[in-house]
Amino acid sequence: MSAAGGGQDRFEDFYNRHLDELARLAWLVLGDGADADDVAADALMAAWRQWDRVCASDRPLAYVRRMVVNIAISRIRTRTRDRRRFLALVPWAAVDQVVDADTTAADQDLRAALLALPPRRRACLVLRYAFDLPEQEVADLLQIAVGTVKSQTAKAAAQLRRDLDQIEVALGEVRPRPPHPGGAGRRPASRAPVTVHRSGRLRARPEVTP
Amino acid sequence: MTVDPELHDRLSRLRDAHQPDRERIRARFEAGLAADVDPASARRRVGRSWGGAPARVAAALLVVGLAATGVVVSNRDRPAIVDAGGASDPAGVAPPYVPPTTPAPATTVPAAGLPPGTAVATTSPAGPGPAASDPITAPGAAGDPAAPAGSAATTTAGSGPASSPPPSTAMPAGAELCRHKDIADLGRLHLVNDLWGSDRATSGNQCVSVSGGPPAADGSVAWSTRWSWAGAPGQPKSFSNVYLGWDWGWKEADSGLPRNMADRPGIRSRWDFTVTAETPGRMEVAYDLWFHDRPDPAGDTLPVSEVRIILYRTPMDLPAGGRQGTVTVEGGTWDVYRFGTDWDVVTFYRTAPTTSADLDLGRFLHEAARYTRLPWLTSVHAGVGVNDGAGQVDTTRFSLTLS
Repeated sequence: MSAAGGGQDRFEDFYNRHLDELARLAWLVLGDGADADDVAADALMAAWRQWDRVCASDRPLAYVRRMVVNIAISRIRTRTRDRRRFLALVPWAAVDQVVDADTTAADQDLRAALLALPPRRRACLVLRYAFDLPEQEVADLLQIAVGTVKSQTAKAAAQLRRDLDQIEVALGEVRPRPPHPGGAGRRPASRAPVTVHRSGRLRARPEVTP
Repeated sequence: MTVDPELHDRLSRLRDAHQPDRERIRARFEAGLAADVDPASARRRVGRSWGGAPARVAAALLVVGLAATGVVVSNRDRPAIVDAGGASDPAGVAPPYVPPTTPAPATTVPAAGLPPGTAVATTSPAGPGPAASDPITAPGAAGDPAAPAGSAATTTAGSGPASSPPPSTAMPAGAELCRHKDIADLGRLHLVNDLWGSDRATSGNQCVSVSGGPPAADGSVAWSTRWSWAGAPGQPKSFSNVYLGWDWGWKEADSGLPRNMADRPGIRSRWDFTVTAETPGRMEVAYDLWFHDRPDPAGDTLPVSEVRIILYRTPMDLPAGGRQGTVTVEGGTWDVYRFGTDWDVVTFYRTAPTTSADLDLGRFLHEAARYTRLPWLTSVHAGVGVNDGAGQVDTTRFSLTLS
């Protein structure tokens, strides 16, 4: 098989191996499930377009993660511009809150709190806490100094803590809440996931084949 | 720096709460590929290598391949090998490969010189030089011990189609056959417009046509199929194919099949084709060989096994399970999958698609024998399986030689 064919094999392998992780990274950075999958797809497309360059880097995965974060953040900016005209509420209320049938209420709160963080700060926190990347790698990925990673992550964690408490208060009347830490109250998984708009409208998400 | 352990724990768990919608990702990824084949964006790709040699061959032939998923199963009247919830459950998103596309004249003439050892025969109407003369079935001569009593003829011979005028004039070149199971005779081969899964489509159709007229002197044939299917993208709709032997029944007595695999019959095939995708969809170009426990299966006799060799496919989800490994056979690498339903299905997916093949299919069977039983070879099919989308495959040259 030619080298180019081998490159293709490698890409296929990369795609299959890292798709989930990249989509999850996008999801946490971005905050919206459907959009996140699009971001992952776009990043993979971009990676394929310059696959030789990706391969030439020390760490192809780091390279594509960076694409994911960059695309996600630029998408947030676009989206924010689009929505600012319509919504002038608290930051986390500006984004649809996704209620997955199989995520816990506590997780939903966590997501809402994450959404309140400025995007790049959120990216720092997500990469450090959810993906366990070393500070140096996060610094490389976001093209910022290690010291900035430390401070941004610390600020993000503190703000997250604070906002989690606020959200509890804000949502307390809307739905029954499990006791705070650990809140393992699983919602019935029988319903299809729906997106709950703050307006109270429900929107079914596209059917996902199991 | 200290990490808040509880936050760390919760964020780690949250991360895994997102279940990516692989279908959606794939569709978008493929839409990106589709955009790439449009001339406006072609500039971006200048200087870019899009794959291996086969891909380049494809580029020369005007290949626009797009989207896809789901396992295209290649035959009819049988339970789908994979259904939405079952084995087909797409777990691995398709190895996304990109069919190259340099729009080029679609005229494709197989190269003048065939590789040595090509099975394409120079038919001497008079009689078979072993192996070389009957493109379909080698002379039964040296022994077709395999020839079952019941099968009227394991073609012994020179009197084969190569030497008699092919009855293929039944269908004028270019005329289209569009109904389910419409058949055109191409010498010993038959071209069938098989729409076995079309009831799952919300709309669509598929037609075949013999593009090159009667079989060439060397027994090779040319044909085209074009389709347009919508709905149930995970489910196969059609498998237009040329075949030899059993196709849920027998059409011809002198097909040269069945053959007992214990005799190690030689099976070679040359296949050149072009793929033109109009609407992104899922399709594959494949060989499909069937095996029975008995030499004379009836139309409803369940096979023992089926071996599929996928030369080209649009990106599709591969089945979740069943992957046996990757093998190198006949100059290509192939992912091998195995499933079992009513019979075993062993599938070889070429890791890099090709639109030109000259293969000793026996080598695949040798490999497949590690995963299933291969008693009697009762048919060889070669065709285009389609799930959805619209497009066309033109086979510029196809030949099949048993020896």
